[in-house]
Amino acid sequence: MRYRFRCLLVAAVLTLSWFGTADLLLAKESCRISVDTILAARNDTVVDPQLKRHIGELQAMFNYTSYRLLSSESLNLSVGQSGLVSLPGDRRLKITPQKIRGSRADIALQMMKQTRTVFETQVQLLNRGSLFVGGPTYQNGNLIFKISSAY
Amino acid sequence: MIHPDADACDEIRLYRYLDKDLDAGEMAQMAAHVAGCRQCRRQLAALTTFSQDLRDRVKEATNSVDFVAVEKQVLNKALRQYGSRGGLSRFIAALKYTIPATITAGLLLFFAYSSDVYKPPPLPSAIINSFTGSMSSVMIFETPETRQTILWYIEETDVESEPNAV
Repeated sequence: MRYRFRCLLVAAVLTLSWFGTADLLLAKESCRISVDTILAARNDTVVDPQLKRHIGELQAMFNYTSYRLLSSESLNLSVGQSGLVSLPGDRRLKITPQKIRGSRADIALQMMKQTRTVFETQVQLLNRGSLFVGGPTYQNGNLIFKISSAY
Repeated sequence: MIHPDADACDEIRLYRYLDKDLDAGEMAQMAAHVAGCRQCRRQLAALTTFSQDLRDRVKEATNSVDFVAVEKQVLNKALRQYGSRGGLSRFIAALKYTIPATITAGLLLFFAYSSDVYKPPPLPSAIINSFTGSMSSVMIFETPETRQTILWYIEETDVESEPNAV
C-alpha cells in the first residue's frame, strides 16, 4: 500500500514537472504566421468589428479615425521555410521563421515593393504576439500590417 | 454470671458482631452474651472506640487531600510517559506522509499560481534585432500598456504624400 502510494506520488510530480517544462525542452519545428492588412484613414469613422480587439491601443496613439481590414492571410511555416504574402500596392512580404525557442520565434521579414527590397528585418516575435508594421500610403490612408505568430 | 457462654467469648465472633457480619440468630445470641459478659463488653467498647477513632482519622486525612490536584498530577505523569514512549516514532511515521503531501501541495500551488494567478508584466510583443532598408525614415516604438511593438516606416516615394502619420 505504501509502495503504491509512493509510486503514485512520484508519477504525479513527474507529470506536473513535465507540463511545466515541456515547452522549454521540446523545440517547436513550425509556427503559424498571420498577416492582417489594415487600412487606416481619416475620411470616416468606420472601425471593422474584428479589429476592435486588436487596435484599441493603436487608436489612442495614431490620429486615424477609421480602420478597415483589407485582407487576412495565414501561413503554416516550418523553420527555414519561407512564405510570401501579397500586399496592396504591389507589395510582398517574405516571411522566414529561423528558430523557435521558449516563448519567442526568430523570424526574418523582407518587405518588397515591385522588384526592390524596401527593408529587411530580423525580429523575435512573442508566441501569440504581434508586430505592427505600418507606414506605406495606400488610397486615402496608410497601410498597417499586423504580423502575428502562434506555435 | 461473667461468662454465660464460654464459647461465645470468641474474639473473631466479637469482630464479626461489631461488623454485623453474623446472621440474625448469631447476632441475638452474641448480643445476649455481650450483655452478660463484662470482658466482652469492655473489649467491644474498646474495639468500637478504636474503630470510631480510625474512621475519624481517615475522614480527616481524606478531607485534607486535594483529589483534583492528584488526578491532574497522575494524568500528566501518564501523558509524559506515553509521549516519551511512542511520540517520536509516531512523529517520524507521520512525516513519511506529511512531507510528500506538502511537496505535492506546493507543486500544485506553484503550477496553479504560475499559470493562472500570477500575471507577469507584459513583454514587448516583438524584439527587433536588425533592420536594413532604403526608406526615408523609420520609427520603432511600442504601446504603453500591452507593449505591442510597432515599426513605422516611410518609403522614399511616400515622403511627400504622408510625411507624418503619427
